[in-house]
Amino acid sequence: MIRHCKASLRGAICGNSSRPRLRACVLPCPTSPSPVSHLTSVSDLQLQTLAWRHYEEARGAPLRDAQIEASVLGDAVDFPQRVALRARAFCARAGLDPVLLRAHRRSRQAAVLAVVVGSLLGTGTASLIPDGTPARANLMDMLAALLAPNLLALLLWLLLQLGGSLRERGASGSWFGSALRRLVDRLPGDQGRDAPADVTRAVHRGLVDYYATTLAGRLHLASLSHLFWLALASGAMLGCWWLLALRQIDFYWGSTLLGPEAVAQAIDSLARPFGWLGLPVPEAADVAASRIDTTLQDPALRARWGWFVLSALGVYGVLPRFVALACCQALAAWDARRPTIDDAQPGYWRLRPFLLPTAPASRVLDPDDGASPRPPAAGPGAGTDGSESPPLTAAWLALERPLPVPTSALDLGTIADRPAQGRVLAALAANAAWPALVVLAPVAATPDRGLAQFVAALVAAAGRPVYLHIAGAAPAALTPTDLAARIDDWRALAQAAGIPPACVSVATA
Amino acid sequence: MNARATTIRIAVIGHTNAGKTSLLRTLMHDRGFGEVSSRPATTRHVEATVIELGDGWALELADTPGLEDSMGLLDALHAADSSPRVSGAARIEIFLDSLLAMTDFAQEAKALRQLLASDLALYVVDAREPVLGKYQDEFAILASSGKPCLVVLNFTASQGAEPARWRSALQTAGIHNVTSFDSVVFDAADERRLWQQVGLLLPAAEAHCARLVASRERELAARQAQAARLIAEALTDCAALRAPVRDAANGASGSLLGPRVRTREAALSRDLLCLFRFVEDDYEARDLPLAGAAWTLDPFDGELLKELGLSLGTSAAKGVAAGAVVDALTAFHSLGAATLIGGVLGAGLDAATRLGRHVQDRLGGERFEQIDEATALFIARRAVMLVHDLTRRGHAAQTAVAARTQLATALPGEADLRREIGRAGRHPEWSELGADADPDDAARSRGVQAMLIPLLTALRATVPATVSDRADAH
Repeated sequence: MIRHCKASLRGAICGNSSRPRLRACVLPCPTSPSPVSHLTSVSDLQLQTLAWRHYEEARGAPLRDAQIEASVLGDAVDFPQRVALRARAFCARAGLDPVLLRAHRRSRQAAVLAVVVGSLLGTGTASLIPDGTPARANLMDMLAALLAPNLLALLLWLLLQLGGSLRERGASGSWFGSALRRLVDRLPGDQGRDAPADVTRAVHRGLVDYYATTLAGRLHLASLSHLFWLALASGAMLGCWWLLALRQIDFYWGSTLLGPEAVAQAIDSLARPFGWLGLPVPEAADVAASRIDTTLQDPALRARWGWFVLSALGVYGVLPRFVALACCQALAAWDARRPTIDDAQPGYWRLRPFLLPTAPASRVLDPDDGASPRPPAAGPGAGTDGSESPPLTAAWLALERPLPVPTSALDLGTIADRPAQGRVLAALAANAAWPALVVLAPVAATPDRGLAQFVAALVAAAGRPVYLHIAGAAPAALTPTDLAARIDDWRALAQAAGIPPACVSVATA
Repeated sequence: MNARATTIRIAVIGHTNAGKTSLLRTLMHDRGFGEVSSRPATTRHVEATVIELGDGWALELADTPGLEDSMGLLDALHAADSSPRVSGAARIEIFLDSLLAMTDFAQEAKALRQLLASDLALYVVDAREPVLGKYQDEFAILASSGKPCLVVLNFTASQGAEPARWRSALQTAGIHNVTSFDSVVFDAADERRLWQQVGLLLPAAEAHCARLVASRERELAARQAQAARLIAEALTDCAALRAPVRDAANGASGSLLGPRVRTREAALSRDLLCLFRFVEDDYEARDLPLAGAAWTLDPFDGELLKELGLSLGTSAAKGVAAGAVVDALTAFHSLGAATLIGGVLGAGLDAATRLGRHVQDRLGGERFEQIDEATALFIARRAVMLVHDLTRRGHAAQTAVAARTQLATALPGEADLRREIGRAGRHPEWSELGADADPDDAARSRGVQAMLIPLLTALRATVPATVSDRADAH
């Protein structure tokens, strides 16, 4: 469900593009004067992004910095890019980079340790295999001890990759991520010895997310494993070569169920790739001559078996791991150049309002040059209620909306268009006997310039006292503040039209 | 940024205070655009904003100053050139070169200039207003401009709105492209229809408008899923929290439960507001009516027993497996003793881990409390209603959404939610607010996921019904 949601968001961000990508090849460093990050690779950028998300999520709200935001908005095009660049700038500033650098060092140390331990284990295992005097080695036992764990582990890893058990599960959703997080949480404290606890925790979480949720991270872990097995196979090969160079070892095989033909066939199948590589290959006669009950071996036969063992270790031990390691490295590099962010994470989408504003290009096309007439402002005394009530025997007219008129008054009707305006102005000129004119201003109507013009025209044409009575029901949408402002606007309109403040009254419902 | 192949220019025109800037705020989902007030002539300049449509296409929406004196403007246009052989657009051009366009009608001139430079006009009408002569004069001016025009009836959800009367008046004036879009009460169906009609009026942009509509719908669905996730996380934190009750004698009296839960609920509201692109001012928070309950281990709780049985069984099985390996290594000379010991050890360790802390606390006289189920459900209901309110809120709305204080109606799917809340309550380590927080726990993730399903059911039942209902009314 969340995956679906992420997909939807991705679509929303990038139109029809499939996934938002951190376009690593065009990632420039932010140009703001914030501290420069020493972590510059693309996988570092991914790590910084993840660590910074955890840091901000723990804080509960994103940190704001106008300079960094402006720089990021200018440097990057899409949302993931902006998120990553922002994280890089903040990681340098908030002190996450040194902790990340230490994690890098740990990663290198782990690689060296894997090589050393693997080599020692391989050499040690190889040296333990021959027994007795003269030294004899069971071919099948030897190959099983030196190759089987390696090949089984490789097979298991491939199955896990194909089964996708580690894919797309998240640090918290998979047993692997969960176990990794626990392991990282229990790391000795020197990783963050001079860093605040929240920084160390954020970096740990970022590392876990990187290794458990990103393809590049998982491939880096796999590379470490391949490196160990490669060192082990190489160590075993080196150990065997050393043994074979310094000692005379008879190779034999023994089986209760399998005859020489079957073993010869198996050996032939195993050795076929050696032949393609031009290496010496034992023949059926060699197999028959190396049965366990054979006591003396020809030196040439020993040498052929020796080369067979070395070739088997190379082709079935070293080569597959080397290929796997190279593939993992190449894939990791490829993925690092097109990493994704899980923009459904709160730490990311909280950034959207300011890293992906909906209206980023808001600009003024035609500025206010001051030429437009401004709405009249209320002058002194305009804010007081009229001392004089509108006369009940005068001529009354309502602007735009029908409003109740006293029965004793002469009702000139509702003036809502140009012809009605013209009629009233003509009637005013023709009927000099009307003692006064009362203009009913509906509080629901916005006192615009058109109305102001008409009221001014009425005052000019009236030749008698003109009253403005603000009346009617206030719209529900108007807050008390808005209502007060509306009444003020009507008062200002009246004053601008020449109606004295004393002749303006208010009776709104 | 990609070079744009085509920019479609849309001028948003209308009488002063008709809600042009409000319309743009809600269309852009950006409450920061322009300035909105109930006073006339709030917008005094032309301001444009852009929606990228992809493939180099973009919509440029220009907010214009209101037409304040449209009757005077129509007179001025006729006075500029009264010849019947001059086209409306040419007459407007002549008027724009006149002195009046630079003085008395400078504000209207800005709007007209933008109209002539645009491909389409969105004419905004406040549907609460009566159909007055000044608006009919505005129809006449727009019709004479020769630009395709879509009339947008704004504030249609407000009391006193008369969209039917407006539609009739517009039809009488020969204007048939009319749509409703309330900038305060947001309706996704209205938004979809508006962009579809823009696409129909500008055939070259029709596919791009359709893509915009699809993108907006995806965004809406994604927001709903994210909201469910946020609520599930917060509910887990609150329901799982087991806070110690401090004695007054120790200097600090009262429980830590209330403040922590209230703070978490406030954080949830903030996150939901941010998700829908609103800010804290848009929400009038009210205190959570909180009821705590002393936490005790109920040995007869069926769910607890089931969980305990499953957990003990799994741990025992793991122990058995490990023991069996040891037995195998001894070529079964151990006669299965390792298997037996492994099973017992596995189950024992699990039980000790689960119950040890509780026993230790009991012996130490420590007491704890948790929020009761009703409070957790109240938090869920209030959050779901907030999502509902925010989904229906336009970005031009000026009054804050008030937090609910009375929520008696059960949410759809609440029985499942209740069960998941109960489950979270048995796992204090799931709460990020507690001392034993383990927010990355895989079991917690599964708990949150399980809570998502009833929450999404509740959101889908509560939120979209009100959105699409009005869609068919037109």
